[in-house]
Amino acid sequence: MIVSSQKKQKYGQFKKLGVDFEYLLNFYKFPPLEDITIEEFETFALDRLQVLKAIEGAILRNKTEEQIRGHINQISDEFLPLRSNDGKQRYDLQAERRKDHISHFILRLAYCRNSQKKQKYGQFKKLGVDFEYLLNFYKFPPLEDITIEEFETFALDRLQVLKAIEGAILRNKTEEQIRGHINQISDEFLPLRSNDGKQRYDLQAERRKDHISHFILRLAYCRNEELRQWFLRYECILFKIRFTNEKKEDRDAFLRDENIIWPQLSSTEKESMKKELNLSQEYWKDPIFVVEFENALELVSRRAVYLKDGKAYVPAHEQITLVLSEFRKRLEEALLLASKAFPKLDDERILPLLNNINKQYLGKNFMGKNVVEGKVTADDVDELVGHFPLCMQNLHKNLRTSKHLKHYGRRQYNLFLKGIGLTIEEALIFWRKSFSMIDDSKFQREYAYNIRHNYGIEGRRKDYAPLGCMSIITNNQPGPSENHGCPFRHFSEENMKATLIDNGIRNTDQINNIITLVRDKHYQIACTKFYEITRNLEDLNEDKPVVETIQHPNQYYEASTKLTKSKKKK
Amino acid sequence: MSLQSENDAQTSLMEEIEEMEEIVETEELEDIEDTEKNTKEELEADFWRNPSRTILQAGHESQDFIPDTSELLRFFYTKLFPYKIYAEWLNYSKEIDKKFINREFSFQLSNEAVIRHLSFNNPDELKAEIVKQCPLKIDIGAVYSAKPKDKRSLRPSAYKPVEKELVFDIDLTDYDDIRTCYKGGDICLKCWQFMTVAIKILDVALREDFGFKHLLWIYSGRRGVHCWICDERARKLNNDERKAIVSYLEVIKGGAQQHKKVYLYKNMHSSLKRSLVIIEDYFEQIVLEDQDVLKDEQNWTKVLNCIPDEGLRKELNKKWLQLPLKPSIDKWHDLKSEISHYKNKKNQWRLDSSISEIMFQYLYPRLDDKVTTQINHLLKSPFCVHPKTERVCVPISPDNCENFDPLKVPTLTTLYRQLNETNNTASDKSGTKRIHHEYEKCSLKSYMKYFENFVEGIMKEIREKNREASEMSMEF
Ligand code: SF4
Ligand SMILES: [Zn+2]
Repeated sequence: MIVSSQKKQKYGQFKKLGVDFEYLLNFYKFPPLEDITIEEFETFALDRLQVLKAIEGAILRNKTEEQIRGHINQISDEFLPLRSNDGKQRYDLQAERRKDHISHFILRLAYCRNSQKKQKYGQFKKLGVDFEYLLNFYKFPPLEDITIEEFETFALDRLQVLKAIEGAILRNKTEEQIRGHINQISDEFLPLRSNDGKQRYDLQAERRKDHISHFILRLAYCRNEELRQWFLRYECILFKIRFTNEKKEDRDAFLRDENIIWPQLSSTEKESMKKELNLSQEYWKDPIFVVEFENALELVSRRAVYLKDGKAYVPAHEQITLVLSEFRKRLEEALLLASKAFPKLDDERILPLLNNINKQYLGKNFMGKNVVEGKVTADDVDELVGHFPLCMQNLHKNLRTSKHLKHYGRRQYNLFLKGIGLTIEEALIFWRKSFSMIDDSKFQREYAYNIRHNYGIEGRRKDYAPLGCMSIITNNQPGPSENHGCPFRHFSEENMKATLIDNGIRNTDQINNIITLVRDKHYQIACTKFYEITRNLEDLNEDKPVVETIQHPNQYYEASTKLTKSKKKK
Repeated sequence: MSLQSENDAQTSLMEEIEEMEEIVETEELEDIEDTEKNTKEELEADFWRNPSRTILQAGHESQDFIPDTSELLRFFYTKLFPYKIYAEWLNYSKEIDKKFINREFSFQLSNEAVIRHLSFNNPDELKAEIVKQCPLKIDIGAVYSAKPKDKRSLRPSAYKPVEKELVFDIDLTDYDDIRTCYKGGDICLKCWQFMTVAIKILDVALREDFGFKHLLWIYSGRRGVHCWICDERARKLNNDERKAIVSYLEVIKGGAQQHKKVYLYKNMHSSLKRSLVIIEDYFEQIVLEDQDVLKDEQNWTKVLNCIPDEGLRKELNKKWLQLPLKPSIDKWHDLKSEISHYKNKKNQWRLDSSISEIMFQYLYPRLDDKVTTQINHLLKSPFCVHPKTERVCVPISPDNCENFDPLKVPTLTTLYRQLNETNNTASDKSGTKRIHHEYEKCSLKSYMKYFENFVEGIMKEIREKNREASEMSMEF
C-alpha cells in the first residue's frame, strides 16, 4: 500500500509499465523498494565493491582519465554491467540497473555506518563511552539494536515527560516551577544525570535511552504540521531545562564539541560600544557573541539585545537563546526530512508501534465500538448534553432551535453521537425527530444517506471516526450560517464571554484566564480549563494536571460521565 | 492488528494532511480579506458609487471642463503612471524574471469587486491590464513560487510565498484616542506631525539597528504612510523574523480599554533611548501646543491615567481644575515637578519613568502589525490614487519629511489641469526642451525623480554585487 503510493508518485512519470529504470544513469535518490534475497544482498554488494576498488587502484597507479575509463569499463562489464538503452533487451537492462541501484544502497549503508562511527564518534576520548555529555543535539540516529519492548517503553516514557511540560505550562507555572516539576518527572521516567566521574555505565544507559526515545518520537511525530509543532515546542523546552541544569564546564564543552561557536567581541570593541551595549556590571566581564539578528529572534523580540547594522550583540548570559535557536532550527529541519522519509518506512513491526505512539497524542479514535455502558438511545441525548463539550452543546442547541443543521454540523455531531454509543438505528431516529420541519420523503432522500454514510453503511463503507479537536479546529472553517467548529476557535470574543457566563462562570479571573488562552490560540487548553472550572476541579492538585488536555470531544464526554459516576459512588 | 487497517490509517492520514494544508492556505487569505474590509475602505469605496462627488467639485470654479473620475483615472493610468521604473523596481533587475512574473497583484474595481491573484508576464501586460480595468486601487502582494494567476490549478505545496519587501503601515486612525484636532476621516497639518515623528523614529531604527538601506516611504493618499523596505535581506525574511522585528519596534501595547499603553524597563534599550531623543524634540510642539492634550479635563484625564499613583493624579487634577485655562505646557511642567517632588520612595522609579512613558504613548509610532508580519499580506501600491482624496500615493523623503504636506500632494484634477495647460503652451514654443515622460510636465515630477533615484540606488547595489560575484568566480 505504502510502497505503491510511493511508486505512483515518484515513478509515476515512467511511460511504460514495468519499466522502472529509464536510464543507465541514476542519482540514487530513492532507496530500493523491492525485495532482495540474502544472496543478492551479498553478491551485489561485493560486485560493486570490486568496481570501486578497481577505481581506487587505477587512481593509485596514476593512470590518465582515459586509461582509468577503459580499465573500469572492462571491470564493470565483468562485475556490474550497465548498458545504454538500445530499444532491445528490455529485461536485461532492467536487471542490470536494479543491481546497480541496490548495490549502491547496500554499500551506502555499509560505508556510512563505519565511517560515521569513526568520524563522528571519533572524538570521544574514552573507549566505550559513546555519550560524553548529558546534552545531545540528536544529530545521528541510533546505530545499535533496539528491542521491541525498549522501543515502546522508551518512547512512552519520553512522552510522559513532554506531556508533563505541556501540563505545567497549562497550569501557568513560572519557569522556575516548571523546571522543578519536570526534573522530578524526568527522574522518574527519563533520568539523565550529569557527569560526575562515577557510575559510568548507568549514565550511558540513561543517555542511550534519551537518544533512542528522541528518535522514535521524532519519527512518530513527524507526520503532519500539527504533530511536528507539538513535538518541536516541548522538545525545545526540555532541552532548555536540561541545558540550564547542566554544569557550565560541561555546557561549554558540549557546545565546543558540537562546533557551535559564535564570533566574540574583542575587549577594545566592547569598550567602544560600552554605552550601547548597556550591560549591568555583573555581566561586563563575560564574552559577547556577535550573530546575525535572524539567529537571535527571541532576544530581538524582547528588545533584550543590542542591534547594530543587522547584527545582534548577545551577552553570554543570554547564550541559551542562541543554543536553543540552533537546536530548534536543526530539529525543525530534521522533522521535515523525517516526514519526507516516512512513507518509505516500511517495517511492519515498527509502523504499528509508531501509529500507536502518536495516537497517545491524537487520542483514541472513539469509534463507539467499545462503549461498554450499554447503548445510548435517541431520547437520552437531551439529558446527556451537559456532558458534551461546548462545540457539541452549541450544535445541539442550534439543532433544537432551528430544527436543522448544515452539512458539516451534521457530520460533526453525528460522528460524535456515534462515539458516545448511539447505534445507527438510534441515530436515524434522533435525526428524524430533530428535523421536525422536514417531511419524511425529503429526509430519506437528502439526509438519511449521509447519516448512514457516517456509520460506514453507504458509499465507501468506511467507518468514519468521530472528529478530534485538531480536525474540528483546523478544517472546514464555518461560514456565517454554520454552527460546526470549535467555539473556542470560532466564536467572537464577546460571544465566548457570554457563553462562559451562561455556563455559570462568573469569576472574572477565570473568564480572563480562558480568554487569554483563546487569544494565544490555545483552544484545547482553554477547553480543558473550561472543563475544570465548570466541574470545580481547578487547582485541587497543584502539581499534576487535573485533567489531561482535551484532544477529542468524545474524550471530554468520557471524562465528564466518568466523573459524575465516581461522585455518585461517594 | 491487520496490515490493511494500518494502511488505511496511513492513507487517511495523508489525505488529512493534504486537506489541512489546503485549509490553512485559504484561511490565511480570508484573514487578509477581512482586514481589507475595514470600514475606512468601505467608506471610500462607497464614495465611488455616489455620483454627486462633492469634494471634487468644491474648490474649483468649474469653468473648464473636468472629466468624471473614471475618466480621470484612465487619464492618469495612460499618461502618468510610471510603469517602466515600477516594473524595474518590483523585478530588482532590468531583465524581467520570476520576481516580476510571480508577483501577486490585486485590483479593486468597485466596492464589491476585488480581483486577487493577478500576475503578469511582463510590464506591458501589466500596463495593458491596468489601463483596461482602471482599478480604483492596486495592491501588491508577495512573490510566489509560481504564477499567482495559476494558483487554482496548483497543489498548495507548489504555491508558497517566497519573498516580499518588509512593509509597515501607519495610519492616523490609530491615533484617534490622542489627537484632539479634527477627528474622523480627515487630517490637518497638525495631526500629520504624528506621521512625521513616526517616520523619523522608524527610519533610523530600521537603518541603524537592522542595517536596511533601501526604505521607500509612501504617502498612503489619505491619513497614513507606508514603508517598503527593499533590501534583499528584508525581502527574504520569513514570518517569524518579521514578527520579531515588529515586536522589537513596538512599544505601544493594549487596546482601547487600556489607558496606559507603555511600560518601560529600568535599563532602557539603546534603541528606545534614541527614540526618546527624537520624541523630546517634538513633544512640546506637537503634543502640548498643537494637540493641546492637557486643555480640558476630559483630555488631561487621559494623560493622568498614565501615572501609577492615585494621590498624585488627584492632586494634579485638583490643581488644574482651579486653573483650567492654563496652557498645556505649563500643566506639563506642573506634572513633572509634582512627580519629582513627590515623596514616595518605593514607587519613585516607576513614577519618574511615567513621564517618558507618557511621551512615548503620545508620539511613538503605532504600527499595524498584521500588515508587517505576514509575508503574503497585500499592501496598496505606490502611485495609486486614493479614491476619496484623489491624491496620488507619492514617495516621502525621510530626511525631509517634516516639510511634507499631505494636503499639497497633487490630485487627479490638478494633474489633469497641469498637463492640459502645459500641452497648450508647449505647442506654441515647441522643441525648447526634450520631454521624456508626461509626468515631467506636472507637479508629479519631483516625486517621480525621487522614485527613479531610489530604484537606481537599488540597481546600483545589485550591479555591484553581481560584479563582485563574477570577479570571485573568475578567480577560481
Ligand atoms: S476544544 Fe475540542 S472538545 Fe473542546 S470545544 Fe473545541 S473541539 Fe470541542
Ligand atoms: Zn488634525
